[in-house]
Amino acid sequence: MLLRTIANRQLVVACCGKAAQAGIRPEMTMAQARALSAQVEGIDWRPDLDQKALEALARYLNRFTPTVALETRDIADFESQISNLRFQIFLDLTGCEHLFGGLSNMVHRIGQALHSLRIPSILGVANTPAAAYAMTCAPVTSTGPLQRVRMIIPDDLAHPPVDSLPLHALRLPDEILQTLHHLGLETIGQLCKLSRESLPSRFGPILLRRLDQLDGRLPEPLVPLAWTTPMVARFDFDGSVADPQALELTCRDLLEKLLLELERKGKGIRELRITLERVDAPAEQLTISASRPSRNLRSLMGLYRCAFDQLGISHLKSPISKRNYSRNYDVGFTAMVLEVTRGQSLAHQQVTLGDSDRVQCDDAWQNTLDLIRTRLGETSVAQVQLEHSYLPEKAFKRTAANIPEKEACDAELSGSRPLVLQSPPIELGVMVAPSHDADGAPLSFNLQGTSHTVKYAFGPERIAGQWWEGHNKTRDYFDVADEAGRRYWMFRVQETGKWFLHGRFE
Amino acid sequence: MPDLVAPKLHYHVPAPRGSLSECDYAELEVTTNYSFLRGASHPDELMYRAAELGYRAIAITDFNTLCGVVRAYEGWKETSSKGPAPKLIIGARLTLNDFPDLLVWATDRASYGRLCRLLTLGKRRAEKGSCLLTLDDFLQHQEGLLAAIANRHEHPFRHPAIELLHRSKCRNTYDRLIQLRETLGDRLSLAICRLYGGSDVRQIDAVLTLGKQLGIPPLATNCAYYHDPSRRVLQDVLTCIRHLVPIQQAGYHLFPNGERYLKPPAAMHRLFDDLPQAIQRGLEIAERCTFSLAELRYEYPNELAPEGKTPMQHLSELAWEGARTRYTQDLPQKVSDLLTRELTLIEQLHYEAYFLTVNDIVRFARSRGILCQGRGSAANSAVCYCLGVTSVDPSRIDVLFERFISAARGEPPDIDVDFEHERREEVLQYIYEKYGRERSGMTAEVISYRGRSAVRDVGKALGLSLDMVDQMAKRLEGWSAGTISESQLREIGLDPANPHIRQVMDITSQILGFPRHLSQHVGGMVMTRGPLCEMVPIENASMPGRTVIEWDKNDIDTLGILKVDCLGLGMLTCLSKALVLMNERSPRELYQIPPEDPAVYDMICQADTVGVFQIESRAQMSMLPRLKPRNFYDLIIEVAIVRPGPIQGNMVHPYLRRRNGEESVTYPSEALREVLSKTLGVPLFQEQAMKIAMVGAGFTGEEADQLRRAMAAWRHHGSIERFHQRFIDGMLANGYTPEFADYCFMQIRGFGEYGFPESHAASFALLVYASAWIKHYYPAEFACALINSQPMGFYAPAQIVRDAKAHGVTVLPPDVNHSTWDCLIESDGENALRLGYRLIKGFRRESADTIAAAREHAGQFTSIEQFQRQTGMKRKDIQKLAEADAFASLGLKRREALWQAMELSDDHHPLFDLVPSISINNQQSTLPPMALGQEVMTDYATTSLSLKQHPVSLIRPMLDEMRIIPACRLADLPQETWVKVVGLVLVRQRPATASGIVFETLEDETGTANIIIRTQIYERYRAAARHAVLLECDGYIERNGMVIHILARRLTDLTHLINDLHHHSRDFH
Repeated sequence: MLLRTIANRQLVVACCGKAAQAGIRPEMTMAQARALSAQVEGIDWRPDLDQKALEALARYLNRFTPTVALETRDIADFESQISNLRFQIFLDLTGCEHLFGGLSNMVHRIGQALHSLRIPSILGVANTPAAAYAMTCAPVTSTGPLQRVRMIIPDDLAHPPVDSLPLHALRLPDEILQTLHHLGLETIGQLCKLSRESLPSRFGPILLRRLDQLDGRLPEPLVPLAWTTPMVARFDFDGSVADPQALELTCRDLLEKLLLELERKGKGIRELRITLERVDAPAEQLTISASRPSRNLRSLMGLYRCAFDQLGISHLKSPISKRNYSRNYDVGFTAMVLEVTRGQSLAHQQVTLGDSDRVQCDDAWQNTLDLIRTRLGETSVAQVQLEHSYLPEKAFKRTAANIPEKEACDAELSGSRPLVLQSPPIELGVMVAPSHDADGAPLSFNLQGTSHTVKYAFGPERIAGQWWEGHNKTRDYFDVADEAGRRYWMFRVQETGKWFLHGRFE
Repeated sequence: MPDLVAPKLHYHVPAPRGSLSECDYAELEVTTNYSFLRGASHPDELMYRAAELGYRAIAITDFNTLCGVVRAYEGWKETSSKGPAPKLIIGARLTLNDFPDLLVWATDRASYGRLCRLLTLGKRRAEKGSCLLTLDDFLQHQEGLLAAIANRHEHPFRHPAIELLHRSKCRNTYDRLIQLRETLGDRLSLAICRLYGGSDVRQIDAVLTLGKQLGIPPLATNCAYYHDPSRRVLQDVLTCIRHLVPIQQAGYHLFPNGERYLKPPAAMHRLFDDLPQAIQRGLEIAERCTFSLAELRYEYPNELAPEGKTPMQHLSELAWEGARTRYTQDLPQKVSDLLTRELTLIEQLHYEAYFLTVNDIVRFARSRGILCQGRGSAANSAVCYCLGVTSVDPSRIDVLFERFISAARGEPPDIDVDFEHERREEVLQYIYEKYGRERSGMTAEVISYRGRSAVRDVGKALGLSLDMVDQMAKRLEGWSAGTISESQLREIGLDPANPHIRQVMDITSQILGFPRHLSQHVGGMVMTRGPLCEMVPIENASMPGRTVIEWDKNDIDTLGILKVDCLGLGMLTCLSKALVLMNERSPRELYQIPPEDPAVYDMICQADTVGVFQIESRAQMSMLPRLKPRNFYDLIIEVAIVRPGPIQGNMVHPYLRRRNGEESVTYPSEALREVLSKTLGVPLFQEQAMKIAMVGAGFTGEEADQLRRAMAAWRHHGSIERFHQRFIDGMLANGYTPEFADYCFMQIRGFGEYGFPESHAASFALLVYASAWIKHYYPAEFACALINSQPMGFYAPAQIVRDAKAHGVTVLPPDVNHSTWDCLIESDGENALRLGYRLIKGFRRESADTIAAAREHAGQFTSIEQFQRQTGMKRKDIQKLAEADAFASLGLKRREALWQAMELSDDHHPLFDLVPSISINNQQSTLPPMALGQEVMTDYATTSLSLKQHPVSLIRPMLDEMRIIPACRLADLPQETWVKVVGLVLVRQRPATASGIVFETLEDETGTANIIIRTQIYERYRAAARHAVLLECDGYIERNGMVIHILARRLTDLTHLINDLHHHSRDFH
């Protein structure tokens, strides 16, 4: 079941069929639902994801008609409409029927498409969007051939039989529905019998508007989903080209074109896909990505070169390597396509007086990082971050080398630590100063066969184990210097008395 | 890097020091669990451990609070009774806004007073639970206090001295430090500890350097958070709970290791072997702190006697005067003897001021017409009766003044007074007003971890998923022991062998009983002669206008401070309202209600007691026909017997058998006959339990009283067991059989849950009788008062109205031309109950008052437009009235009224008021008419009751087809008949005493049916049993005299049937 939290109460938004069988209904509290069935699992409801999915579906339905519209409403609207959570997509079929062999065929095709996507849906058809929606609220008469999809096409599209339909077919706010219910009004027909004049003062403009939209007295324009064209630049070679320099020049030309367009939009490139097409073999694809949106031709070309080198095509130049070229492609490429797969608005950066160096420095550093990553592969470059933990080996973590500074952890080290830790720690033989509490400092130790005398030892710094992970042992760390002045970081496990070297200060 | 310090080996073994005296140690920085969610040991645990280790002294320094010091003092008293105990030093850790934390210790009574005053100042400024102080505040109150700059308690663990040494960075703080040093002189120290952190050496170095610069000596502490190293785990968990993070992410919130326990003095000496002066400093400070909580002397307020009279004279005058008013003709000899004796004892023990205090409060309440009555043991006192504090006539019952005050106990009596619950706040504010905020405060109540909250918090802290935590918490239903059995764990899909789950269970059992936060006691007020805020810090409550002291009831008892319990009682509100309504017909006061009216007892015996105080619950109702109370004393027994205490002590059935003559009344001995004769040989009251211990087992009065306390202190589970052996031995020595001794002890332990003292039961029984009398003779007024006092009692307005109708009262619906916020009695020849707007859901009192005012001004309303013009109400509120069918007297049906109301506009145009409105409503006819079912369901939806018809009656034809019988026919059917009943679920109950059995009451149009659902059935039909609004129950009839139950075998949720009446109702219930 999907849950949402309102002031400490978790309410069910929707649930699967199995849960519904157990008696779980929307608007119940989670506690009630759990009481009904112990097995149900709750997930937080994310209306934004719903909206996204709906949009994706709408785009899919674009294949039937250019005008596919979603009802515009924001998240807040969603929340108020919770008691009958329905999603609707409007398709303007006008003029497209003949492409699919008539209206009923077309509706059937749409139904089949939805059915094959396993999306339960109801299709209603009428002359106005409002009426079409209303039709979807009509009672079930018989199940059609498709289990998940019900289709309702009235005989007379201009005058669909809406009178007997329930009022929620009008897409009204819950509050108004409630009031109408209190007045004993249950169907559209009953509502239509009331005089028009009496409605607005009592229910506000929306009720009358919905009624009028039903029979087209008021237009309800559908706003089709905007279609964004991908940013692509393409160049077809005359014949095949294998010369890296020619390829690079082409790439530069195309990139310049794209950058011009990007500049108009105020965007920069985060990810660029370069496709090199061939006649008789699969195309090669290069992807370059920048850690910040970029319109810098030089650095982007640098990235391109780096990526291109990875392909190993540069070897094509020399005949020897040509023979060695394992994939044995002796012909070049016929076309080059550049596509911006991820663009991002290029934020205007405020340059503080006298600090422009830093900005440039940052950019240069980012660029180098991008180059290294392109060269070595995304996962090969890591960044070390401090973590809140007393255990030295857990006090840091490696992350992808891309974390903006502000997300970095503000942890501080809890004591003096060597830069590199021995992993795993090396066991030592240690002579210890006698001590009452078994916390004596080391006097001498034996490391890999060599014996060292301890000149001084700081400590102990006592770090207890993470009992919640089953580690109950306590370590006593000493910062130790031997007679040669080398400093070691070693610990004794209090419970076993064993010593380990955990790092060297260098 | 610690390079700055000369290389040196630390912590090498010291030569064993000579005598023990050299190993003296005083721990001066101790955080107990009264620094909520910080310390991981109870104060007394720390005290015991300190004694074991042979500390010279131990200080309690909780974060801005003195909340735990009394518990520590109790621990000290107990250890010192057994042998040498460390000195207990009272102090606190002050967190200052503009300076590092200070540890502060009180040297004498005066400095302790200043510390309290300082904390009060900080707490009164801030919202509940926090404290806002600056160094200046401290400097103003510093006289006589010893102080030390404390170690930082949070991570990174760095001593403030390190920062102070970088003078340039905190110039300001450094200057303040100099100022502090100059003001305090040698009373200031710098606390250091060696907790094996990474930078111990640096810190100590900094402290020493700073100390040298300014001449402040170092002080060694171990910054203890728990008494034993094993508590580290718990401390970590508490930290996580405090920071609301799971332990996996707690990181630096935790302490790096588990060194913060009470270490043996020898270990402390070893740790500080290079700084013996720091340990010496601690001993010196301990020497200088001579204050003990024993010095706190409670003094009664003294302004209560008029000029020229001693309080005692005044009290005795008042008492005798009261006696003359109470007993108009002649004063019974018994009472006058009692009075003389009590007054002598009061004088002897100097309690006169206390009685005057209570008297003053009661007088105030009376002067405002607030009904009040003393309860509890005070009813054992003739003086209280004569003062009008209590109402149980000492000539009518046997009073046991010793239960109330005893010379041997040496502790103040306990007077609890009930006030009308709606007006109690007036009384409290009067007390604040009279004594001032500095001299009065409400008692605190320490909210401790109990089973569920413990599992919840621990589970969350250990990173279990919320679902799992929920499931575990749920299994704890009804358990206070806080353990879940392995099979239960398996039932919810958890592996008991899983170490993670183990940990949760282990830590949960440790955390039980830990204080979590302070709340306010239900009504205990403390008043003093001198400033209370110099005795205990006072803080704001979360409720506006209330201030609360930091100590709870037990603390106050320990220190002999006296409180007056001002409690709120719904029934008093109800009685007070009923009396006002009755006065229109026949003026009468509560005490003028004629006693021992047989007609009233007849009614009680019939269990016709809906709304009657105490005996209206289902358990009581089923007891009434069996017990058949015929006089006042029977009522006292009735009140006392249906309690978890007697039920668990298995006393109910023996008593009933004896009373019905099915079993002969015997006594185990002549001595006990005297104790038990009143209750036919079965102990029912607390006093009797005490007396059995005294007479039977040879307890002294003192011991018996301790036993009573143990009975009452349910929180310290098991403390009663201490008396077990002593009791059994005593009984055997006096020649009783072991079986009987065991039986008696079982019974006494039963009181550990809830048992009433006789005097308390008597006070309640008075109210039982009074409310029953009013119900019998003035049913309309009674129902009216009862509804107007909601929420209270056992029944909702629907049942009260139904019961009133059954008693021949005409009940009228809410109506704009007749109703007010409260229900009314309309006497039009015959009395009728007019329901008030308070029953309409979502309707506000202010609107109700507006309507009443407008009606007064303009007379009856004639149309909705005129209604709005007169009242100026918003359309939304008028719609609410319309939906509740409150415009009937305007000739408007519910829907028409709503339709018209909807047209109103909220913008008020005074000019149009002059134009007679033209109704444009020719619409009504098109609105569909409302079916009866819809009417009834809408009534329920708007007012939770319907006067038109019972919803079940509307589906009766359908039910007849299903062969379901009406509830009224149950009485005619024999035992074990298979029946099916259907009704609205009125009550769902799962008493702790009934081991999981659920009781539900169903109501149909003919009456009610009581059903018993055993655990298995409940589990099987869980959804129906828990959520159904309309429930079908199939099962067998069980009869016991007049009492009929249905033992459920099958439950079906029929809620949809009534929802269908309403079509697509969304909002029923």
